[in-house]
Amino acid sequence: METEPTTPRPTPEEAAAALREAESAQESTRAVKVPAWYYPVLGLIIAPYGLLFVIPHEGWWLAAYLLGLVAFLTATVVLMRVGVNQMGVLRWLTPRELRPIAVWSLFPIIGGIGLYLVHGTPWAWVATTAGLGVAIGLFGPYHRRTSPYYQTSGNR
Amino acid sequence: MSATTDDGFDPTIHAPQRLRICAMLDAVDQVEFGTVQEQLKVSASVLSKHVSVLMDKGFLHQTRATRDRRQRVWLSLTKEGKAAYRSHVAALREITGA
Repeated sequence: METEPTTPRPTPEEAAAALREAESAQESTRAVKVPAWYYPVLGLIIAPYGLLFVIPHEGWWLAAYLLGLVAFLTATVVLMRVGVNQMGVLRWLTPRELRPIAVWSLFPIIGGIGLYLVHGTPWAWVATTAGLGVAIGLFGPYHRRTSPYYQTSGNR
Repeated sequence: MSATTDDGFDPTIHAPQRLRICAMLDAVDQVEFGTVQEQLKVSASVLSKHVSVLMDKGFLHQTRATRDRRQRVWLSLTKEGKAAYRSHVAALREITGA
């Protein structure tokens, strides 16, 4: 057990070595990859969400709508918990890492808005969330290949 | 326990394994106990002692969660812990002259 009743200050060389150790520990922690299945499953959860906009909100359909909403929220929470438990690390992606999916998401969102404005149909939102689901599903392998934190040797 | 010096150097954090623990936790939001143990290559009891020391100083927080009848412990730095760790790193950089 390391004790420090009178911890001497490190020499410059010792301080540099300590900094290298700290940096290495940080790199190996950030390098824990999101599981390969995570984003494709998230995409599958999000894709059908638009159907909630076409379900009538009356009678038995209201029950279906509420069930769908609960299922969506539950699936998202369960996915996050399972993914984080598998990783052993909880790390939110940085803005830089999220930039690709933010840009890709603009296409189905703007497309959906345009479709709705032109045709006035709630099915536009079905197309939007389906498109978002595809974008998110494709983001997973892209992220695993390109995240700067994963570009270290021996990452898992 | 030795107190932090004026320049931010913290003898508690400076102990090698505790420095690594703080470094890992500063990089992310939370790390599971087993993951820290695996990365540091120490036994659970050794890691528990270091965690206790950091918790006693108010630097580290642990959350217990039961999942599949198995208890998991998640570690995170407190706000004070992050500040103390970053001050300590700044003090180390000062010592190296970088």
